[in-house]
Amino acid sequence: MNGIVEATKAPKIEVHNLDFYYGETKALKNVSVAFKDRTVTALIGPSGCGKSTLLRALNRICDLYPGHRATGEILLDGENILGITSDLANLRARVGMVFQKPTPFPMSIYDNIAFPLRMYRRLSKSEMDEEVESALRRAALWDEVKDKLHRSGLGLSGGQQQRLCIARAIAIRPEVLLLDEPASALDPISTAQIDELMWELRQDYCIVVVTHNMQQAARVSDYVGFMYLGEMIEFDETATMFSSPREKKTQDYITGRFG
Amino acid sequence: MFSEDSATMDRPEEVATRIPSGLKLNLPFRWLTAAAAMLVVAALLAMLAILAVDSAPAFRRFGFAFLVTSAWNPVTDTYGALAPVTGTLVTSVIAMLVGTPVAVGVAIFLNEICPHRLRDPLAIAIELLAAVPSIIYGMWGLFVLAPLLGRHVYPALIHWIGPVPVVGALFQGPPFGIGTLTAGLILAIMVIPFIASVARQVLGSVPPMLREAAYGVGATTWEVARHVLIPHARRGLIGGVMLGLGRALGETMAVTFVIGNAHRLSASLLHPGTTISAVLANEFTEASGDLYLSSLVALGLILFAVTFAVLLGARALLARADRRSV
Repeated sequence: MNGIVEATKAPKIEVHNLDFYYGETKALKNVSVAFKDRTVTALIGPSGCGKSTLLRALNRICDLYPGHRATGEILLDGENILGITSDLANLRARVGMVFQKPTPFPMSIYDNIAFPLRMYRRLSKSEMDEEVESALRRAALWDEVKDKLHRSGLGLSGGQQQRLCIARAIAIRPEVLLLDEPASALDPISTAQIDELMWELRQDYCIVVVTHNMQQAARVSDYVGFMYLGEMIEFDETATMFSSPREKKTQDYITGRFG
Repeated sequence: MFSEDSATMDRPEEVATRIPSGLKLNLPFRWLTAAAAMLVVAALLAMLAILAVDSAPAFRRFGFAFLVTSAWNPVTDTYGALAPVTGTLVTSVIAMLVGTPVAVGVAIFLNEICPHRLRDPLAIAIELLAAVPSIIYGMWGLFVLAPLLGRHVYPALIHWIGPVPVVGALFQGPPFGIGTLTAGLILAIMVIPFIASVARQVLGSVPPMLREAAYGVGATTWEVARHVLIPHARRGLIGGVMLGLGRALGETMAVTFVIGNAHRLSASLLHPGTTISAVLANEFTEASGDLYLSSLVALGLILFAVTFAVLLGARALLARADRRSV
């Protein structure tokens, strides 16, 4: 599925010399990487290598915890987001996130999507209905839930909940979508649906996905970054990474020799 | 699996036949702990029994009317519990209405907003509120809070809300300072640490990923708290409120100081009133006559029943909240 990536696509996010600390522990060491707009970049590597940490630094969700700090630069459209002190909510609306486990809010399916929308846009009832429908359609969930929009989102299956979370994330029209092992708690059919969805969404967003699943990385991504012990070991186009990686470590990991 | 026999077979003779010294104490120890547990249950049942027996004359004499009449006259020996029962419920409801938002606000501030270094000192300071003896609250209420409210706050309430239909009836009469509302406010302060402590626990038990997801869609702390944390922790929060309510219902000393101890029903919250526990504290020592005493005991039984029901409800809700957060 990997086409040739046009070289013209501009970098959406540029990370320069990023170090990340959990208290005294250094989780990222001098990571530099660029994520291009309208592409899917997969981050792979063994557990604890720092890929989720890198993802969580990109929308500064890590700021919720004391003692977590990042140094270096993360440029979103040229603006260093590590320098933002006040308006983190706005940043997080621009950089959406989907988590390992589905996280529907304790409210109806409709409100799960309308709630974040209401925070940013003043919409009439009919406009809101349209937005909700369009987000659910894009997340390939509409047909399954259109008759029960006002039932609790907690009543859906795991795969449906995860697609609801993706619908919620794209409803507010972010510029970047971060997915942290979005299919790790799902069955193969739901996983395939999520993969397909990522491929669709790639036309509009800069997508960064953390995954443990090599097939998923190969299927959905344009670029792959391999991380190990807090360092970005290798970063290249997906086809290159899976056919002829430069580093022996990458080769070993991809072929399942460790990790 | 080793059986007892195979284990002892390998041991030297003298060890195998020795009775472990702990064994001799084990049985008495078990009996002792059982007795301690039984003692508590027995004390509870004994109290209930005494309350039931001693209140019987009052209930026999007045019947159901005891609960729905408000006459309280030792001279004519007529007693009705309506005024103190109403006072107890009204002061407690005021305490909950005022105390709950403050306590939940405290919990959200400590959990979500407060800089990490200040968190523990502030939490301890709030828990210390629970350690202040209730008589101190009573004295402070009588000498500081009541005059303050009577001079500066109640006149304004009477002036502005008094003329409003329906609601205005709650704010009539001279602003004494002491009265039902003052008692309710004192109780509110007293229940804040209890509710805040439970609220912190249940809000803290919201799954981190859900919390991150809420912040992740760009919600502010207020929106996260209002739409995600509080709904998710709803049941536990109600349980915490019920615990506070249980305490407010039975609080005696602080209320007795500021409520005015008047046996009458009044729509106005600014009038002096009374509560069950205030009546008991004031009148038990002076109660002459069997019917008088029996009526006081009956009040106690009513308070017991109400508090017990509230605590059971709180436990049920908290238990369900725990199960859900697992």
